[in-house]
Amino acid sequence: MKKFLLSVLLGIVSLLFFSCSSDNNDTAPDARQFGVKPKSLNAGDIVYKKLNKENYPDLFAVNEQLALLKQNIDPELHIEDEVALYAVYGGKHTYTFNAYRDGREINEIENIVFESRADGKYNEYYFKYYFTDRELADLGNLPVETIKAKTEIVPLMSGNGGGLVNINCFEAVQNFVGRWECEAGNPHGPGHPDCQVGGSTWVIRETTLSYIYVGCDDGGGGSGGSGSGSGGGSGSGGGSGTGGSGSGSGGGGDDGSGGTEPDANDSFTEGQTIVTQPILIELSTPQKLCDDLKVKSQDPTFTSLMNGLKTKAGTQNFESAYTMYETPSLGLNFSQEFTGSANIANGGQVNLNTQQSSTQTPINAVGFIHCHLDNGTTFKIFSYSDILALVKIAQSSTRPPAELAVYVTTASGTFAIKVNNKIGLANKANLLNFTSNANEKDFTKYITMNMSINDQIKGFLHFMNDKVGNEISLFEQDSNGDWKKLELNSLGQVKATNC
Amino acid sequence: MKTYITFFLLLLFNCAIAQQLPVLTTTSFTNNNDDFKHAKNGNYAMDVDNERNQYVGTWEYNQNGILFQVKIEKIDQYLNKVEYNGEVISYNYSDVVTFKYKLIKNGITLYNNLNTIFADGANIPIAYKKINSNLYGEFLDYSGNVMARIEIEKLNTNPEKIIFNNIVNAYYLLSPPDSYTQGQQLFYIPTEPIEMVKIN
Repeated sequence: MKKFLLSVLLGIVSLLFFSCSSDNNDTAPDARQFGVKPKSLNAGDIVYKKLNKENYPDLFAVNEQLALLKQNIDPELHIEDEVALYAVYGGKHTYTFNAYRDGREINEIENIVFESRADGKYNEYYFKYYFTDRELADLGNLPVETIKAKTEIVPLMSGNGGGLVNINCFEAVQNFVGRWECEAGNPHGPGHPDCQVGGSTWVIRETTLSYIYVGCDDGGGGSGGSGSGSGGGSGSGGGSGTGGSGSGSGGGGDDGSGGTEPDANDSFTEGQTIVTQPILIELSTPQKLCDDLKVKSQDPTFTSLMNGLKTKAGTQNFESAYTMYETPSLGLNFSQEFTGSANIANGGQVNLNTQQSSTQTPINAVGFIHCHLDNGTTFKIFSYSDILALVKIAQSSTRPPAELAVYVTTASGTFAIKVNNKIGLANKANLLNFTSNANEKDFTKYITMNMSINDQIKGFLHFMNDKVGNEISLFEQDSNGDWKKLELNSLGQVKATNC
Repeated sequence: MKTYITFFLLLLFNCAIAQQLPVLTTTSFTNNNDDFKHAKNGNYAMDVDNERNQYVGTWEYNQNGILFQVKIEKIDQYLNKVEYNGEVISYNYSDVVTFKYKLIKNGITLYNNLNTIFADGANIPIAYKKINSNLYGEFLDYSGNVMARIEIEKLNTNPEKIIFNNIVNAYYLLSPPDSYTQGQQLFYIPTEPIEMVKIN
């Protein structure tokens, strides 16, 4: 019996040790890769990171090539080169930039990928992905074959586009990398002040995909010509020929009948590996967010409506709001005014509506401006439902993420919440919506109506840190009209940084 | 065989432990330095000085054809967990009160759950009492399917009285906004501050 008890105790200790892998060891395990080893991929680690432009290791060369590319590429395709996914592998590296065009479909992701060459320059590729809503919302968990099946690759060669390459000419492999995580996935290492509860854990996450050119000797659908000098064309393949890709010279959109052999114009060699992943950007740099706040503040319509809302905050017993849109032809424009009910039994809050007309749609909505009230019946700062409204905008809008915002104004101040990481926020949409009741209960513990504005700001920032994550930033406009970013310092106090 | 049985028992034991959500830290509603920490993951926010006791009981407002009775009950270590796809994302505990009520307007009973027991897992209204502050939290208006935010002030009177204040524009909807019709009545409970007297 004694032996049995000893065995039980030892077992418990060992199980607890292995099942509760909270770790405070400073030594990080090496990054690892799992999955099928592609025939051409070295066993070396793939180091990847998201870089701001000022941190690109070879900024000069990248800038030079970007400038050239922008001259030749479809002028409607905008490359967001302020941030890139940077991957180092097998002695070379890639940059993946998000790209977008006005009026693109919400489920399309367009990326430009630079693959380093021995001569210090880059091979340029246009990657396009078509996902369903469900796939897009679960982008981080899609099987590699699903992603591959939704991918188009076009080499962008100077002078004439390489043309759409049959996706069957590639093998795709998911790469995995370990990283420290704590508290609902925050990427922090041991000892970080945000990781004090439960410690940090080393986990393996999917990161990039390796597209390995394996040749086209297995037949399959040939691809139509596309791209050409303008690059990034949208030609659709689906030809019935065997093997390789056609080389279009038109402006994209041609339906080709496919080539008969793998074509040298693909510029691929067997075993050539491009490491990338679909990115829909999402990272907005603080500078971009500030720039957008400044631009909007100088817009006369925006300023006029905001001033009007500030007045209404003091005179109405219900909220007012306007939805904001950005379109190439109209620039920044606004919906008609929405109001809550003047009959307080029916609710004085205003509901966001983004579908207004053929030009004011969820796709080009960039947020809304609204007032809370000075009579003490609302928060002076944002509510949880305001955060959900921004999430909804982030899910539907195809506008650059830096444009997305919700503004609120009262006599106590004017504030904005903006999106740092659109895809990260969109990925959390279901979580934040389905758990809204529990989060509202917690919101009540952070902010009460009778708090001073400074305490409401502090409470809101703590709530965002604890319950939402770092996909959203809070800004405040001062009496001069200038904006500053508000965040918590390591002591949990509010820190303001001028835009 | 004995090894397998031992291992199986240990596995069961470990699973049982894993079901409980442990208290990792504690805070006190009496301590202002604990503000903003009460809802941290794993925290238990405690009513150390029993500040809630003064509110416990049944309170009544009976004027202008409206009979509104509110029963306030304590719940110790109430668990609020953020759970998604079966996974607990975060959780915390707190000492709270909850509300049941009877509402009769012009002789018609609109709602009465004074003597019912909340079902397990039900979204119940909760409120808490910080030091130097009124009772503050939520009140579920079942008829309007809306969670009001309320503040309750205890008056120093005999008989005992409270001011029940529905903070009318700080509510949140309990269903997606699209499921409410334009102009739909949300509040059936009083929307103006009312004085209520203790009856039980």
